[in-house]
Amino acid sequence: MMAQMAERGVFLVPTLTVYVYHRESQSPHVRARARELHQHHVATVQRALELGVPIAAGTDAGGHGHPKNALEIVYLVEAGLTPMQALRAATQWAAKCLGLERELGTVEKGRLADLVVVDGNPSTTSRSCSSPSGSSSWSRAARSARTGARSSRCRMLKSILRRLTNPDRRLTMKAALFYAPSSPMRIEAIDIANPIGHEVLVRTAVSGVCHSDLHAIDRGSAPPPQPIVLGHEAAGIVEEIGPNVTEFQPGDHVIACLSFFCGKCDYCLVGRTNLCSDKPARGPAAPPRLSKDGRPLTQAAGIGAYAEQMLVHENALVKIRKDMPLDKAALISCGVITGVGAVLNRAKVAPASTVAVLGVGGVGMSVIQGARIAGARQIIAVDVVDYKLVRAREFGATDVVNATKVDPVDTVRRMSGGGVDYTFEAIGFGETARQAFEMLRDGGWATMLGVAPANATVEVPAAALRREKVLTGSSMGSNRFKVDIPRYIELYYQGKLMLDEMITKRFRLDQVDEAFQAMREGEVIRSVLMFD
Amino acid sequence: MTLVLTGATLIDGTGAAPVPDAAVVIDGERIIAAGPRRGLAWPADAQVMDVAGRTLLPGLIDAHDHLASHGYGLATRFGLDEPASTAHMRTARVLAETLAMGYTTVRDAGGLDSGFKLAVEQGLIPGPRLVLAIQIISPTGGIGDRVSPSGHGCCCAVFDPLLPNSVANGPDAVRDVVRTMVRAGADVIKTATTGGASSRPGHGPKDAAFSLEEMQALVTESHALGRRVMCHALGGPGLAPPCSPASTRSSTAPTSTRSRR
Repeated sequence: MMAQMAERGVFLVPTLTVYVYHRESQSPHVRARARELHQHHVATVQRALELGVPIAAGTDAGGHGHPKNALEIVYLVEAGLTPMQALRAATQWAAKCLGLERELGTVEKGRLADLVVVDGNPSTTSRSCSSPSGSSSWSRAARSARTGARSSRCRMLKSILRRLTNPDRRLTMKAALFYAPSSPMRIEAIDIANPIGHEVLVRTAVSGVCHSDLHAIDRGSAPPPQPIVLGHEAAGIVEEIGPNVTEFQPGDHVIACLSFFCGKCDYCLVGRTNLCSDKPARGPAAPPRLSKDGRPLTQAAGIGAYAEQMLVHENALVKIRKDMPLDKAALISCGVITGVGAVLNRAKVAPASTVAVLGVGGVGMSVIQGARIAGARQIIAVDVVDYKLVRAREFGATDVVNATKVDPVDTVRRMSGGGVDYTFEAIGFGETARQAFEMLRDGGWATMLGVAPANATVEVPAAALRREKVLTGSSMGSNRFKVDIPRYIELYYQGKLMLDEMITKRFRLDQVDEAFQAMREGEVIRSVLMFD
Repeated sequence: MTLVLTGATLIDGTGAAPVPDAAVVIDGERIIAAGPRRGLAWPADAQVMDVAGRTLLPGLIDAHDHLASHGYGLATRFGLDEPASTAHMRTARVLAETLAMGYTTVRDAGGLDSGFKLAVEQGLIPGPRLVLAIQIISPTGGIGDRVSPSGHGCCCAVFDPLLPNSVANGPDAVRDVVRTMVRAGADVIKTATTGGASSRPGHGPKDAAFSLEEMQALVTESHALGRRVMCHALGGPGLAPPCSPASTRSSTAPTSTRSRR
């Protein structure tokens, strides 16, 4: 049969798009048919290639989201066509299938001037398709091409084109690379891959400087292999999307969060996505997301935000309103969500209760704010830097304790009339975790947020546990960040969550070492790296 | 007026390697030259547009679309869930968006009436060039026969004379329906010799529709009227008629099919 088609020039139009769509149909019989048909169509395409059966691209669109026609080109490549063959299936070969090959399908003398101009430099622009006006058919395209809605679909096409025009080219960008503890970071050009599957390429706008990155530098706690692109607290703008991404469009403003999740494991299914046990990553067969001179680089926390671009799974991103300033937005991604989330999601601080916070950097200040939002009647800030304690009162602390001048446990217990209802440790030491536990009144909750060294332990009096005291922890504010972050942004707009006041210094990427030095010296609440 | 596009990387659709720093010279609606910029000349008064840093390619073609179809739900397919005018405006928007994403030609495999083509040609709405099938020709129980899972026949809210009945049984009736499609504006004849993924249960991708005799009548009549045939054919015995020598013998024009061995 296929041989007859080849002999007679009967075209195969496999319309893979419709089977990909129907694989997720509501009707079981449609779903079952589509799964089988998709496999068989892929096999048929391969057989057609072997036998020389001509192939034309068609979508069978109708009900599966209309102007996504270019997806078929992507699916044809996945089925085994080269990018050039797939493009011809949607131009020259399709024209022949329609009997219009003398008029359409190629850019040659005598053909109608039906042309498409696609941006060929995806790293520098967010507009993807444009068509200069001029010829009649073209000006029609140009008028509507300037609407924003279709840019993501052009992106799919664009990634095909990029492979055609520059098969070996990789995008390069600047990134701060961490090579070894206590040595300066280096700003170098590295390669970043194209988004595949559910990945999204994001142009970094702002990257927060977080203490856990400092831990990586000073303690050497960062995972091998090195060098590493550090940074995980970031906001930016979607540049390009992988073929399976439906939630985002190029141009969307997003926050990246290291609590990316699979959405399928039992933790995710009960809503504890921050504990996801199957965090999505590229398979071993795929090329690395980041590389330098062909050697793979590690993305810190799966994000790697000290770089001009980030290539992340779509479940590492949340879309935010476009009027939200991106520098404030970046803070929410880690420091704010960890502090506020620990209060609201994990400890569930009750109104009119009492709270103590140990360590008031970016996370601790967010705990104070969370406690204020929750309606705590007393919020005691404990730190060793007077500047931070002064600032803590601005964020909502009712009392402050400098732990270098007095015994912090005794002082907090006295101030609160015998211990507080909730404590939060936002430093990352066993000793301060113990102090947090001892500050509690009976029935109280101590929550550890700080990133402790791997070998740190906490020793607490066993008898205290019978007084129903709880010592627990919270990872990244026990967040469901796709839900939490938009809520926190509303709180910002209502004036309840203070973010403007948290940014004390701004640096450029090449000043990243200065930013870490400022953090070591304790003179910042939060500093950010600004791109562009 | 001559328009020249310069500087783009040109992928001309012939399979040739991409041409960096290309120029395409356009006179009216036709291309009069294309290739490396250095080898081309154009009149001094030509309008030159710099598109450096971009990629230039032939307008894309979708060989199988259903531009007027907006969902697989039964009420939508039967035209029951919104007024015809609303559905038409939705379709007009799809035409504009499809063009905007780079598709300058679309072969509509059924459901789009010839009024849309007229509207695009007259400049009333933006849209790609259209090659229309009007409706899918099939026998009773085939894809063109609108029968609900309950067994009820077509209860379409609006009768559109530009989307005529496409169910035919027997060679003479098939010829009649082909002529009716052409009268309604068909540029290509669309038929289906098997069921499909979303067909009713019982008419699946391997269930045949149309005999060889009926298919021969359809192809012969289509070719007599200068129309090509595109055939929905997925598997099973229904694959044979569209690919048989008998049904393609009379024609130099290839039929188009999607098939599964």
